[in-house]
Amino acid sequence: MKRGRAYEEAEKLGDRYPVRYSESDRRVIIERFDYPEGWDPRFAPLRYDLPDTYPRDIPSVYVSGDVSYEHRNPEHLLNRIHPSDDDDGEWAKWCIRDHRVGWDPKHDSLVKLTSMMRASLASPHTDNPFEEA
Amino acid sequence: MRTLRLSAKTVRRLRETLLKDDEQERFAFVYAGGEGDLLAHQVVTVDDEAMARQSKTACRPAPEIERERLSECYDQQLAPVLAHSHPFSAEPRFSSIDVESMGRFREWITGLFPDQPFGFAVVGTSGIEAVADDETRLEAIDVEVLGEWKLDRPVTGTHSRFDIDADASTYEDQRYDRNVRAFGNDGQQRLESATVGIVGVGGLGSMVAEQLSRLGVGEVVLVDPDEVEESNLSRISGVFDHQIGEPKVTALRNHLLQSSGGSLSVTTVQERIQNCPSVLDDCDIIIGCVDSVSARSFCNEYAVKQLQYYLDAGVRIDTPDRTAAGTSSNGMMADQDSKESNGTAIEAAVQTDDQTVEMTGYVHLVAPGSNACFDCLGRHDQAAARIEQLSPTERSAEQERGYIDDDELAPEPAVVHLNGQCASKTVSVLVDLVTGVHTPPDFIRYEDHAHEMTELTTAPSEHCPTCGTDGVLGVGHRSFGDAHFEPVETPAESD
Repeated sequence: MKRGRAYEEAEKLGDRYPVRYSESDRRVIIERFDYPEGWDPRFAPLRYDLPDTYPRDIPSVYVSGDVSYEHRNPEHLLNRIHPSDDDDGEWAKWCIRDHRVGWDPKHDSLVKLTSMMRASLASPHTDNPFEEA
Repeated sequence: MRTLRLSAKTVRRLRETLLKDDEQERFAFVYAGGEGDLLAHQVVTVDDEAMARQSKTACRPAPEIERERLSECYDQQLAPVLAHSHPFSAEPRFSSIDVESMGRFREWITGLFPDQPFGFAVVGTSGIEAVADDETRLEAIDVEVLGEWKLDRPVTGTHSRFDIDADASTYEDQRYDRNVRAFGNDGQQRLESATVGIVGVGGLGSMVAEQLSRLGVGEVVLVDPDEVEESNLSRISGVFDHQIGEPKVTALRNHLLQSSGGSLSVTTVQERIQNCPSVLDDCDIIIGCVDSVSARSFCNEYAVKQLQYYLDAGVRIDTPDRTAAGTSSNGMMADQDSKESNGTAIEAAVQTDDQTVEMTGYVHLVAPGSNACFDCLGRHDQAAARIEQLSPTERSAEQERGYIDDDELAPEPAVVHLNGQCASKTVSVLVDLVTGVHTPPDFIRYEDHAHEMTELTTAPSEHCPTCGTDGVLGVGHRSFGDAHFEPVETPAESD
């Protein structure tokens, strides 16, 4: 993990959201993320776990275990998958495997990922919400 | 003795900015990582307009520039090396005026930034001299250029990690008589003084280790988390049936001690390299023979951060009904190595006699900042890395949903003779690098079908996320820290 870059990106994210960053845990938590319309509650945490290969690889994304979507459960929400430090189901994995992310370590960042996540959560049943966004 | 370690790119930048036709002395700050040795990360030049004093015999930046640059450097957790030029000198030495000025600088810097490391350097048309603060005084330090062969003009007076004592004894031992006849007494001494880290000791890494032990390399550090499995035995060197279940590093160690006649020092670490990077700190060269793209990327990044030489070796076998996955996302290469399965038993496809099999191997030498690193060539495979980083639960959940194909988890094909070709070329590049008998190649690609070996020249990319302008070249261990922060304040409810 490249401390300098992850740190700087988390700091930039902190300009827009209340952010908790831990380098030793390789974790970024947006404490009050504004979930798009359709999610309840609208303000809840969002979590990024950075791979030790960051920024070459995209972080894992977890949504708050307290949020739910108004209609059927989104396909991308893996309710059974929690971070290894989460025994209480505080988090659920948001699978971005088939989002055609095209993560580019030269240009993409945590700020951009957050914009992408807003798009993804706004259209949670589509296959490639990032691309649509 | 401590060392100022520079890449060829950094030396070029220093020469371009500090040595100009007008022969005026010029000034630059080299931001450097590292705790003992100083590892050059970035050159920050001082424009002529920002100089308080500048002539053909002296120069000094304006005091506010000095303060700004030093603050910026320490903010990045790096150490400044204050460099100026002697354009009139090929092999520069600090002048008496320099020594006096550096004494005043030292007092000033230690007053402003107590207990922080720093150094000074003087750059001439050929050579570079450097000193570093050792808390009580300034001490002379060596200068080493990684990938020095990439420079049009080598830096004179530098120290190589493979240098040997001038009075080193000649070999009387018959064991290495034929080696000495091949690359001389000095070459053999250099091999004996080298410490090589081998990450992954499966089919490929075990053969590399075996050859190094017979060549007379002095010390190897073997890193691999796995145990010997029956399916390894068709390729792994020096390991036999009765050792199934033993850690690979331990099983191989015993064989290496025998094949070296006991002269080899072997350190074994049964662990993923990501969990124990410090075991590579004292290695002169790191060789990556792993099957995990994450581990390869980690080794590459570690080498770039630490300004270490890294040799990445691997093989790839493509068959018509499956394409081998591996380290390269652009089809350039992939790899194969020590671990036989990913924990999920999948029936491998059975090949038939009429299938065409494409077998390739590669050896990629990374001299950070001097030639292309793993990421300069876009060799990181995000899809493979993502799967590697999933927990078993995540992996099975994604398999259930069809996000991961079964063949993505199947063991790769592997054969001993391809590993042998690749291992020998890897050792050949290492011998070039250590002995200095030949200039080492940047990249070798071997195609088994055509029996062709192709040598490629590479160059570092400015846009590389690892060794480019915004990368981590020379930052040392900085990235493995414990920085953290919390929200300053929680905004008021707005919903």
